[in-house]
Amino acid sequence: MLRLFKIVSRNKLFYIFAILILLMFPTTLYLQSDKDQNIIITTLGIDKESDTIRLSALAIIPQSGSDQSSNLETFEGEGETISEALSQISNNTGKKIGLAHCDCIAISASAMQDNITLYLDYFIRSANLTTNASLIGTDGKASDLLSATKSSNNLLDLSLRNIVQFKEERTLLDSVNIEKFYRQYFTESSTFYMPLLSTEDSSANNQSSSQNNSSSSNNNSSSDSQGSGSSEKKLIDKNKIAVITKGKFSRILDEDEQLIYGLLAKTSKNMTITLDNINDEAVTNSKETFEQVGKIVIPIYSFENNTPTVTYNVYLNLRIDEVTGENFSYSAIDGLHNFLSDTVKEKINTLVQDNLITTVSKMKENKSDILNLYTKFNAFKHQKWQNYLATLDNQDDYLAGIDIKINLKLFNVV
Amino acid sequence: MKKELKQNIAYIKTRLRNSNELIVKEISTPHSGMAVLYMVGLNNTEMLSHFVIEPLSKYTEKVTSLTTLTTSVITLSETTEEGDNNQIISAILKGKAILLIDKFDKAIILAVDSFKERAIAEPPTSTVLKGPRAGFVENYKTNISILRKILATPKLHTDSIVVGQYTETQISIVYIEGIVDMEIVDTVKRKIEAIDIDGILDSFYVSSYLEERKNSMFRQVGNSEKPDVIASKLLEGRVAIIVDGSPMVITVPFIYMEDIQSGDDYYSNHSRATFVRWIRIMAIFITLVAPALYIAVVLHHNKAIPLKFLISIVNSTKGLPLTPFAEILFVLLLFEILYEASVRMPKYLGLALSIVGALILGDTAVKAGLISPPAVMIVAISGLTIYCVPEQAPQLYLLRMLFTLAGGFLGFYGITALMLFLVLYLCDFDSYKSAYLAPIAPFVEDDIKDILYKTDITNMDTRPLSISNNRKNLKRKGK
Amino acid sequence: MEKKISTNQASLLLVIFTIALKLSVLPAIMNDFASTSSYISCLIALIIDFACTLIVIIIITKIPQYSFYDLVSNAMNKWVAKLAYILLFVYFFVKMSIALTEIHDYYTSSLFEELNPYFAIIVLFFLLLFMLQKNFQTLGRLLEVLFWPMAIGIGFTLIFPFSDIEISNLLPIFEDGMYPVWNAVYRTSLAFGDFMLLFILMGKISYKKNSRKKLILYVYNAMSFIFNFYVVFVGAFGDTTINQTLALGELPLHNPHPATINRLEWLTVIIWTALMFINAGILGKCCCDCIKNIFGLSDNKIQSFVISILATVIQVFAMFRVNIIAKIGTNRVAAPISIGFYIVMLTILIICYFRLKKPKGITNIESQIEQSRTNIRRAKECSDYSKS
Repeated sequence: MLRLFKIVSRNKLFYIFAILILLMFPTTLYLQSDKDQNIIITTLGIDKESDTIRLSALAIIPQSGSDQSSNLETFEGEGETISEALSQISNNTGKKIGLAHCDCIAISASAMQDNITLYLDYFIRSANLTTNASLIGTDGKASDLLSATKSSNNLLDLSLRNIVQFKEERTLLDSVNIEKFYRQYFTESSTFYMPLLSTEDSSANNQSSSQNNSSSSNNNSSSDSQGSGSSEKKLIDKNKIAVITKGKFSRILDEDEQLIYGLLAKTSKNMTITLDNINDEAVTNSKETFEQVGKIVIPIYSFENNTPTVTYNVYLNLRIDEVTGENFSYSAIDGLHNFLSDTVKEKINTLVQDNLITTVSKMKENKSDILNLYTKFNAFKHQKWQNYLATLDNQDDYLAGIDIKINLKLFNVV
Repeated sequence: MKKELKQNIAYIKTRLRNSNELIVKEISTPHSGMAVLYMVGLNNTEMLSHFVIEPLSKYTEKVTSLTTLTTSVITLSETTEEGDNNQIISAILKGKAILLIDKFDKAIILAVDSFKERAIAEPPTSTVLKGPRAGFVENYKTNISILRKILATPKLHTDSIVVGQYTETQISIVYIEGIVDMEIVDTVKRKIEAIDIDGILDSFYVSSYLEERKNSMFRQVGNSEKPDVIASKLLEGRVAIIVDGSPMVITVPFIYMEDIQSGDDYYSNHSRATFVRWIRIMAIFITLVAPALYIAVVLHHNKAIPLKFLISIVNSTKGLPLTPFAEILFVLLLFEILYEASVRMPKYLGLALSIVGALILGDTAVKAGLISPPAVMIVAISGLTIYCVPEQAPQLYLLRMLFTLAGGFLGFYGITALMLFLVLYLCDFDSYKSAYLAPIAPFVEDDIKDILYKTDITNMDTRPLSISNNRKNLKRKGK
Repeated sequence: MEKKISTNQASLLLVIFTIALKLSVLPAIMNDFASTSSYISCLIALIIDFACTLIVIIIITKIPQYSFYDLVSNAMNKWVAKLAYILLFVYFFVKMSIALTEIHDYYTSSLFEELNPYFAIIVLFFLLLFMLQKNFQTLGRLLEVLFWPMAIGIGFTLIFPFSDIEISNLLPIFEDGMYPVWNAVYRTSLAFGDFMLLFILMGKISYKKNSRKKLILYVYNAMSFIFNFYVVFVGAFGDTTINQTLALGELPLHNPHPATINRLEWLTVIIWTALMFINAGILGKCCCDCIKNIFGLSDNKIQSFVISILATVIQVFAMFRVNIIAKIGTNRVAAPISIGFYIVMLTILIICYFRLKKPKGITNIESQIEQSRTNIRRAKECSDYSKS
């Protein structure tokens, strides 16, 4: 013992540490890789059937070779809780669940009828799944959604995460992930939204549902039909966005609301506005589509005559995207022609104000504070806001007294 | 020595075991008997004949003193009188000839030693694109003369010490007075004088004795085969040690950052030199941690890899018979074998064997499903980056293995711990009054301009503070 | 005699000591007490800490030749000095335990699927033992090598969350009044008190012309970084801050390119682990210094061995009780004890400094002259009185 102490005390610890590592050599030699012990899950789907949670997991099955293609396989498990369902998947596959690469969780319509924190609680506590995993809804079954994703040729071409990110960039006010959900959930408004995708059998008519509306429309339908007579699913994006209030499904946003929320979203890009019956020196009775090139949104929260007022100053750069009609002259294809005439600007403003009225009324009617006005007023005008709330009989009705305005300034980009 | 010529000749023959290489040339003169003794092959016989034997054979007067002979008859530039038998024997064995004269108890040592040596050429271990290409040779006198040609100053001192019971190797300690710290010179002298060994075959033997921390894998003595490099180190205040028989000249004190510098840096644009130095620093880091990080990530931290990379790794490692750690070890071992074989194999077989090696490692083993492409790639990258700093190669090979073990065993935790161990060890590693990691630790601001980045030569107007030198003479003044 | 450390090394030791324990679970704890005003609590705590650090730096730079032990021994007596060191030992040991258990807790729960904790503890034992056998100069050099790469690594991974900050997450402040803010400062006081390191470094630093300014500047920068970090953290996470057990690890997850970069937090976790190891080493070295002064030991070997073994025992103990040490550090008993400790130590330092200026029993020429003038004046007064 004394000799050992003398050895240690002679400052040869570096070599002792090296020897220690060499002693651990046999253990390390037989260690199996993480990937051999875990099943790599990329997407999860949550369905609710009576009192049972049905969990679908889309996992990567390795293929020999070094290219990027890989087989995706769906595994399912059931249980009363998420952890039970995951244990079943684990038992069925003989491997541990690896959620580190799971970047999207799909929630079915049936599950959304309950408070979805019941399902997400496992994930917010798990250190494996990151809290910026996206959330996506489906009006059918989540397992069908996963099957539709699986039927694509290459995982990277069609990923639910890509769809959510696409929508985040174009329509939505904020990111749609677990951490943002919980942040919204604990606010007074407790309103969240998530995109809703649909699925249909790929043996049905291949209809691409592109809608000519004033908000951005993305067609992500994949028309792979593998095998004849099989019930392969394909994804359909009907451009639905679900509103989740206090953790439960509340309603679907309609087109007017999507236009307004898209306009007010600071990060949204490539919004389009279509106007009918435009008469111009260049065109007559035509339909013009404008594309957003740049946007700045500055919200100002104030109190006017003790009424909480939020004014969104929106500076929008537009560029003409398409002109359709019968009568138009050569100057219609002139690249320097300014299509954003005063008439057009007025029409756009009118469109926006009309939609705003509809949106606000629906917001107030359904008490869905999608713009998170409670938190904003509480943060920026705390005292006055508290005074305002004190005047209300029911503090849940705070939306009713808020005045929402949009100041739209349009600029043309040639 | 005795006064009897024949006795002396007999004694020397006996001492040299009647060696066939010992030539005894007797010169008869009217008044004195003389003999020239030398070992064949170690000297210039033409010089001996022309400047010694011929004039002596024509000398007709009586030899009254040896000085008369050395000043008037023998026209060699270097002659010494010696009476000690051991010194005489040593001189014969070193290629000198000795002149024995009857009735004199001293011999004259004639400096006609001339062993065939190779030409001054560019050393294979330090090739440069620009700059001088001369390199040191095995003869210490030639090496000193090369240095004297570069440093034509009377302040360049050379102190000689003979070491080695059987080799009697000449070791010269070279320094510039006024620049060097004399304490270090004294320390070096003391250590070399204390060397008790049967033979010194290379300067590496001497450097082992000069190292203050025995048994450390990190070298504490610098070396170079290039005279311009040694001259620059002398000008910074270092001490150079030239060992006869070795073209590698060693210098002390040594700091780690010397290996990051290269001769090329001083003969090319300073911006390029800065960039290349950073490449070398990154290369050291990549060498150490690339295989370790790979194995840590594959074994323990799959979640750290992006999905696309994970799919590649997962697909390429599917069905492999070896565990990931065994696979990496196998590839590392293969590369070590390849390296060793390429150093030792005959030139003529080099091409054929390298093709075989590349095929075996790069293609066949992967196709056979023994190893995966990512493992080969990682180890190959790590193997290439070692030679960005070739002086550190021995240490890096070993450390790479240790890091791989640590990463395989404890993942990032083990790598971090080992890295801290290593850096802490180096931070505590002082030698010859200089911190090993200077000027990074301790931070010496003035020296950073020649370490982390290379400033223009016109801005380098002081000697480095990172090593121990004469602090009263730090300015690099010309006049 | 221990080698002196340069001002640069001392500054870096102080920076690491300041930063290390504040980047993990502390933001969540402060948010628990003060919700959106937690960064204000942090600011207040940092200001108080900075003020104390300033006082200590000014004092120690005025008496550079004195260590804390020498100062107290000369100004008071050696038993007071030993008592002060006993208190210092307890303080540093508790902080070291917090640092070590945080590493262990985080690693076992997050980055590893399966980590045999005993192996990790054995490695830590050897690393700690190795570190404690070095002196402060070596630790300072270690920081000179590693500090800037670590700082750049942390800075790089904190770039992404900037786009995710919402000002509304930072407001309103003082929503429930000042009490929660001060309560957060009070309850987390053990995590602050970074000036205590200077008590150990006293007498070991070699000063140059601008040393004082350099020390103050580095401390100021470190505290600014911490404040900025807290602002970014609370701004990015809002109400979900209380769920984040490793703040430094959670922030980089807000990267906009998860598919390509994936989880960047492993880089910050590696850096954070190195930071905590080094911090544990500094704290352990402080404990060794305390033992040396308490028992008058000259050699470092015994106390380094003892501290390493104690630290290992703490780790094994904490293995089975998650977050136990962090809970101990923020409970109602620890807070007044730590505040009382800071006040006591500062008071001792200030008193000893002023007592040293006019030491008892040591002849002071000026005071002698003054004394004799006073005596002459009194004698004159007496003679004037007697004459009258």
